[in-house]
Amino acid sequence: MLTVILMAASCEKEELNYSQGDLKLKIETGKGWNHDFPLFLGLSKKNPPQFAVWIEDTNGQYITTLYVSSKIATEGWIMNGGNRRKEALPYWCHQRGKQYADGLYLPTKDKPLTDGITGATPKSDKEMLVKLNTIFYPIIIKAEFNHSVDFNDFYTKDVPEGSQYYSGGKMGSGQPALVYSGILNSSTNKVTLKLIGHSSPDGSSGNLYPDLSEITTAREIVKQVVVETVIQ
Amino acid sequence: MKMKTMLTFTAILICTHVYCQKINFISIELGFNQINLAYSRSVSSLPVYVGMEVGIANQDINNAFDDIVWNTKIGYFFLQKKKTALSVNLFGGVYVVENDYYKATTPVIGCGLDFSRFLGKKQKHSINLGVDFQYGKRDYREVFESEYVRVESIGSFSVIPVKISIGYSFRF
Repeated sequence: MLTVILMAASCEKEELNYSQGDLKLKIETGKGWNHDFPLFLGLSKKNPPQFAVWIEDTNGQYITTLYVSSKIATEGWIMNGGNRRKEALPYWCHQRGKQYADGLYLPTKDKPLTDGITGATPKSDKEMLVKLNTIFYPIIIKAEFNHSVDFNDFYTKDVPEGSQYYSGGKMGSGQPALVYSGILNSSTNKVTLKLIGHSSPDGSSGNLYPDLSEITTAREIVKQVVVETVIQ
Repeated sequence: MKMKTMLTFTAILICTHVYCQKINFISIELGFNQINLAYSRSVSSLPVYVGMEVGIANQDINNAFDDIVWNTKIGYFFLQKKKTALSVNLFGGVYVVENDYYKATTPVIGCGLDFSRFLGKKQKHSINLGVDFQYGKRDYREVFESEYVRVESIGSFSVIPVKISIGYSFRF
């Protein structure tokens, strides 16, 4: 009986309740959202990407993180052999600018992300409700997405370290993280973030590279990221 | 609080029923990311048993064995020999996740197949192998608020659909 009561009580539906002026941020997944990650004996698993969404001012100064997937936020990698995957989301890491004891800009198990929310990367579209407390328009919303082992003809698994295409080796990133950006001001009701470049392939810097000619399948991770102001 | 309530309730039931039935068994089950303690007892003379299990598990984002599992179970021995037994079971319960970012009490239902190999002259001990197929999904709300923003999002937690375990049972 107790079990039935507990089960019934845990079936409550959750939903977001928007108010006038709230921002609705929606990430629509592309056909490359779930990507094969090799396990063992030729078996693979469909993995969603790592991603971060954050706000900057119009000078490009980081203000706050909105969301980061949990493996980045909590150093939640399994069997990574100590590899902290600095190539996963380097642009967000460097924009955020918080350096940890090992010199990297990635949150650790001991000091996980506290300035934003996190969770396991969703398998499908993701929606967020954002209320601006002390931030004033115009603002820049940015998002960065990346898959592991997303190799192509340029970013191959056997590229030697030091090459401009090196992305962490055979279990590394492959194609680098892609960065999307959009400006929202008080007169804009809706903005679709535009692809503005890729991050450092090996994660060694927070540079942004606008040349996307060597990026192929990584463009299909996200269909679009849309931010709109709720008008009721 | 939930964990304490569940453990207390289980302990009371175990103490109440230990001497009431002819066949009772206490088991410990080890899975890849779950450890369960189970108590079961036979139902009259039928090859049917009912039981409950509590456990700790590690399926959420914090990679720690701090999730709580609570299941009740009904099983049927469809093959019983002197040294071995095969049974199927249906179970339902909750999987409670609580970490620094969210809480999710997830309803779970499932079915399983257990193989037991009895040991000793009186066959009071057995080694068990089990495979469970389970379904459990729960949406949860995440909220972050700072001086700059308030962010809300709905996340979703699902239990791993297949659970393989090895265990030990003591019959009394």
